[in-house]
Amino acid sequence: MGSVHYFLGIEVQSTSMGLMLRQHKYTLDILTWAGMLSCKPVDSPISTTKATILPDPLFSDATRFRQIVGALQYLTFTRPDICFAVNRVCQFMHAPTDSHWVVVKRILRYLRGTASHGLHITRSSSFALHGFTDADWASSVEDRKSTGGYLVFFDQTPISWKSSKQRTVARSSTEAEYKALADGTAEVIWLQYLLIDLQISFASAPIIWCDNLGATYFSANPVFHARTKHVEVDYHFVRDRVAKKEIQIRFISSRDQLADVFSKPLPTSSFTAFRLKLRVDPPPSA
Amino acid sequence: MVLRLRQPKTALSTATATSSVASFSRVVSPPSHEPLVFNDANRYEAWHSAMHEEIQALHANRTWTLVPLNPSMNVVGSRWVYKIKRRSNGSIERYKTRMVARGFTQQEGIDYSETFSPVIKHATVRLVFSIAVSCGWKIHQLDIHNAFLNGVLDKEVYMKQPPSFVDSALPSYVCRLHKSLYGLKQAPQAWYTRLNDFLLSIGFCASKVDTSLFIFSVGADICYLLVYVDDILLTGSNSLLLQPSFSY
Repeated sequence: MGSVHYFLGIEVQSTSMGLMLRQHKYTLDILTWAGMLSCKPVDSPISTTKATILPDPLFSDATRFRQIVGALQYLTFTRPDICFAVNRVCQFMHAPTDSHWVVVKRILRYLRGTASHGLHITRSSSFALHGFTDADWASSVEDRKSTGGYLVFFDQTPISWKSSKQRTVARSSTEAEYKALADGTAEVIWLQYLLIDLQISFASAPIIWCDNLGATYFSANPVFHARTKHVEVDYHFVRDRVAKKEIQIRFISSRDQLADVFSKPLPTSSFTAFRLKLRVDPPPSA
Repeated sequence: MVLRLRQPKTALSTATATSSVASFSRVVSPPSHEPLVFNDANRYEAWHSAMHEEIQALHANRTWTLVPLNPSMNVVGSRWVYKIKRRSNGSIERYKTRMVARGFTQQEGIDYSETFSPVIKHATVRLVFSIAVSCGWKIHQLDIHNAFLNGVLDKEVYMKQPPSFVDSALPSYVCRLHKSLYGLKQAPQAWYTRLNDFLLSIGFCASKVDTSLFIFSVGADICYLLVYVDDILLTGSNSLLLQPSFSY
């Protein structure tokens, strides 16, 4: 029995504030394997320019695409900052094209510059959960489905996150936000059950921050709107939990919405600011 | 990773092959790549002795007993896999061999039924790390040697005798497996069940929302155990972990 320093390919390192979880070796292995070890680094994992639908030839080596993207998926264990970009390329696993490969290479170039970054787990003063949910309405140019994401913190440390294309087309941005809110609520409730099993007591109901006023109104107000009648199940699920005071839904301005980075590509300046809040830090200087 | 290889030889012909290869002297230093087949590996002393150690461990573990072949049995093949274990600086740590069953020839319902084995969820790992940091707990890592060999099989599974390690007195017999062997469809499930039963018997409770998380509590003291197949993390109040009952 020894102190943990390498677990599931994750390097665990003590810092003055807590622990750092890094996948440095794993990242370098992916870069070596992809032949991208000497590429030019970039500052963000995904470009903000909108993709246009052009005739695009299929990528010559689909297996290689799938292998590398599959390897990147495991990297999201310690890297919430690439979660959105990795999820985006995962949507094209069945038939990757040349332009999808360009997106993958961009992620690898970002990783080249940040390979030694890791998730910084710091001491919590209060054991409380709070989450952020966000959606980018009709963001998929192919089928007009929205992308939703959530991020859940345990005090100051992010512990759970997800970015995914929603399964059905939303007719309004509020509806897309509401679906993301329902997904985030389900995750927060699961984490609450986990805390109960861990015998950790928490004083107040977790707060979920949402940047869409319409969605926050729906969660509190029993008025059933004609334009949301088709989101009935999600509506009742979230509303029920709010009514039982198991969760609270609050409004937050888009500027402070941390789940932004899980629903849309961001320009470098705001991306770097968000990464700091996601606790993805460079290694502590020795 | 399972590599496609030619069909294993019959037990009888492998036995004769062993006696012939045993006579020539072996090369001391093997090449830096891993051999794919037995005949490649057996020429080198390092691989040869590693295979002997593995066979001895399997016998000591009472992994199988030899039984006469019956035509109604579905007999799965067996083969060796070779892996050079390296340290983080690239130097060679050891030559590792595993005797594996060719599980892809198993038949569902006859040789195995359940195969599902849970693994810890990522969010649980991060949450437990976060709690440990906040409470100032040390996180310990436990290593289980030959984890899967601890699993007990509930179905009758028969395997050909390992290539080149055929019992000379009973060459036509097959191995009736008692413990799960690497490569069997149900091996991870059998290991998880065995570990789960053991942890519950010493007083741990399994979490209801993540079945790879186990909790042990006495009074105000508590400890958590996270299981990812054979990688295990243990953390909790220091007073509890320092007790002798925890020094496995």
